[in-house]
Amino acid sequence: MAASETWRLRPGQTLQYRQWDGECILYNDLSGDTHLLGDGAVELLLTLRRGPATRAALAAVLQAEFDLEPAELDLETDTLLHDLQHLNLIDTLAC
Amino acid sequence: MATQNRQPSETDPVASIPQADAAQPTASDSLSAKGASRRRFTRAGAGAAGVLLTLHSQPGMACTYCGVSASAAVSAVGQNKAVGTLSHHGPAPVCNGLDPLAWNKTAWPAGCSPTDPFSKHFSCNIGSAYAAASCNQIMHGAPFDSTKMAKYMLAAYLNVLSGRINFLTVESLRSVWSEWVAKGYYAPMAGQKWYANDIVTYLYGTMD
Repeated sequence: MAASETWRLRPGQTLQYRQWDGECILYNDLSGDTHLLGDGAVELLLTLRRGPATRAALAAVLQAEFDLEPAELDLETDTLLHDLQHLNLIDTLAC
Repeated sequence: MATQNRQPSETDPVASIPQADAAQPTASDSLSAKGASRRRFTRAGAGAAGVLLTLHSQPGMACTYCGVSASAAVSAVGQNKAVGTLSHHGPAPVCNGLDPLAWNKTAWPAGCSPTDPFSKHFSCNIGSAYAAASCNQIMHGAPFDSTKMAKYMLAAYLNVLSGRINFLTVESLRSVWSEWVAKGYYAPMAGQKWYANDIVTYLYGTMD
């Protein structure tokens, strides 16, 4: 994924969730499913709730918040974005 | 479900946005303090800090936000009326939507008049029957709207404009409509297609 790629919450998602230590359950407004998410996914969603952000910015959020080795950062960021996109929680901005 | 027997923490890190610099540590201890405050990913393999589990809703169209869908009841996250008093994060959902019949007897909110062309609010293919119809015609049941797709879409639109529901947006409704017009279905997620009847069922579920 390109570092400049811009991500956003998918329209219609309101991020109704409850959070416990390290895990969170979140209701998907579009699918009706309920997801059990880890801290990393939650951080990305909360960041995107404030507005669209680039992949680089989202990676920086993960780096600031979590104890991630630099080598892991890219893989974890891409994995999280891919998974959240697959669930239609987020998508990219076409611009 | 994995979280079933757990109790929410009193110090729930709700809606916490990364605050790595909040403590403003001194230069001498900044690295250690920051390191201590940073969390570790749950290590069960790559991506374990991401999506751990999905509890699927009922097959078909279960996203009945204003009713008690299976997932909403189990998770207590879908803020339907029955669980609306539970603590939650984000705006409290409002579920007072009117159905098309009710809108035929109720004053419409600012932003949409019964005499407006339907195409003023929802994009329509040029020359289509929808493009030539007024909102009032749609709401009263136009013969070409046999699936009632436009009728329920317009009612949901009025519910959003009037603030009777707050978990859908004008943008999201138009997105669903446009995708349906273009493809004949709306895909809320990969591998799932909502045809007109599915969409109408969903929209109906947002109305009292």
